[in-house]
Amino acid sequence: MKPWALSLLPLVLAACTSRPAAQGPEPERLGVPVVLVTLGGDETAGSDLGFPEVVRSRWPQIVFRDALPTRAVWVNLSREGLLVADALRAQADLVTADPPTIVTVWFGHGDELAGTPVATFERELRDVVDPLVEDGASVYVVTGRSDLYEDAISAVIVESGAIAIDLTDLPRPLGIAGHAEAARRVAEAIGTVE
Amino acid sequence: MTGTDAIALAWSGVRRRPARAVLTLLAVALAAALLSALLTIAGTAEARVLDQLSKGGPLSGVKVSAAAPDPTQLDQDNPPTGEPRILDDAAIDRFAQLPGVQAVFPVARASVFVIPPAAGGIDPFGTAMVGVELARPGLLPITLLAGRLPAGDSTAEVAVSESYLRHLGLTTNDAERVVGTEVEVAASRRILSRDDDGGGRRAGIRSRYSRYLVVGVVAQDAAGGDLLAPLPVVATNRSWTIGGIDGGASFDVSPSPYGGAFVVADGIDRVGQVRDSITAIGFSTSAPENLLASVQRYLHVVEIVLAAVGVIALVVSALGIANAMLAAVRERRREIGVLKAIGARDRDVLVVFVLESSALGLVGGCLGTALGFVVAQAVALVVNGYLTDQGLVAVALVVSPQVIGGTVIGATVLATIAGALPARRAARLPARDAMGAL
Repeated sequence: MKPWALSLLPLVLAACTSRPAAQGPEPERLGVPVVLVTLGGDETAGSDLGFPEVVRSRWPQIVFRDALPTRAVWVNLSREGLLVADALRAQADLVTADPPTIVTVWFGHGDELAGTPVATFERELRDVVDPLVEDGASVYVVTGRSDLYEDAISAVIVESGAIAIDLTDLPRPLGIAGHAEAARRVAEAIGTVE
Repeated sequence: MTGTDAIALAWSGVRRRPARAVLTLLAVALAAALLSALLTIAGTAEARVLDQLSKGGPLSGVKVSAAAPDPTQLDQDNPPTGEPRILDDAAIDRFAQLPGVQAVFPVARASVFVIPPAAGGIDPFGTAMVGVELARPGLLPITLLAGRLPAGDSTAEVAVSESYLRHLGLTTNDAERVVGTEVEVAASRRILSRDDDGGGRRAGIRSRYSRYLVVGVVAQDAAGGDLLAPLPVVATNRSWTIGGIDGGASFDVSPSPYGGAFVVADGIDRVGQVRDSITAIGFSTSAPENLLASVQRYLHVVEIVLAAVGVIALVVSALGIANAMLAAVRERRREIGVLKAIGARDRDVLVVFVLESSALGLVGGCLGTALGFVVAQAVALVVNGYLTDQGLVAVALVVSPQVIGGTVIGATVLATIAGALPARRAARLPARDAMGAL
């Protein structure tokens, strides 16, 4: 026997006195990818919330955390002041990300402030939504938040096959309670994702 | 006196004082058990350590940095690095083809933002997520404090380090508490917004969020990060960040695909050679060569102490046998006198007492050896449970015929020697003195 082998005995004995480590949780079940992509301006970015509430309480964060499985990924393409025209450029970021499976689209208020004509807004929104639907993503478009563009948004939803989520009665700005309610309704529309 | 008579007399001597005989037997058995258990465990440990040292493992590992070596610091275990270098798949392949290399584990690093559960009241913080291939955890220098390592093919599991616990205001004693919780992580990139084209507004940040189940806690700070995950998970987060307009520079992400590598040599004797080869390729390395040598020297001291413990146990048991036999001689003076009066020679009396002590040694040695294996088996069960929890390979108990034979024979011989002096005293006892005790 090698001399140093005997010398390792205390290490072995020390291991005997260690508290046995607990078994970890069961392995996360592998499933089809779930990729949530959010497109929108102030309301989606949570511009009305301070830090750190913005990364905990904005509605997309709640949907991502509470309504989707652990393996889900959320690509946040929303940004304060983002207009529907910007969304097309924002989508370029999806090239290096996972293909989206669930997309939420919330535009209107920022474009109203920017003075985007209704026809332009409708065309640009269609340019955003149509390719996503065609690529197989489930696209949810928020309605009831812009009187000016309501008809345009409804028309795009009907023609593209996207799904409407009516948030007419939520406060402006949303606040923590409004974000929670918006998250509940969006989660309800998405349904159970396995 | 025939041999049968001597055996019968020795047996009657043992039966006359059963309690003393049992206690003497117990002393021999315990000493033999200690000896056989020590030897068996040491033999098994040897097999395990030989496997680690001679066939490669964490102790035979060389850490490679994504940097050039500093030519003035090559002899150090952990030298400072030179200029940053790109460590990519081509470099990893070159390492793998070097002589003496058993395996190469590239290590990726991503800068992430951790959002702890709101209930803890801890603010989000930035840290690093470290990725490594976890299919062969036994070769990696990772020690689990709780739980297990992430499955190699999982995209939703991480292990956290002690620094993560510190971020949450916890200590290593709380490691079990974080196992089974979720951690939310954001990888960010700088973007070029419409307004950057001349509108005068600042560029923004876009984030990719993911959630992970914390399946374990590791002892080491994983290459300076809080989170340890399978390599593809970290590569995905890293690729998101470097896709930004600044290539990830804002988030301290190196342009090198891998932040480092862990190269496992075929054995500890090949570590120096592998280090030299990697240095020649142009990368900075570190390995605990000098540290291991120092530890081995200290372990030799421990070995001497352990050997002394075994020897002391055997000597104590031998003294016990001698003491018991001396007491037996004193108490059996009448019997010795009668034996001599009816014609027994000194040699006959000597044989009776030597037989008695030898029998105690033989039976005690057999019982002790069996007991020693039971103890070693129990130790092995606990150790294997520990090793398995650590994600390491369990060890099989090495049962050596030399240990069995050596312990039994050793105990018998020692008992015979210990009983020889009292037996000699009994044999030399004059008959009239012995009869005087009547």
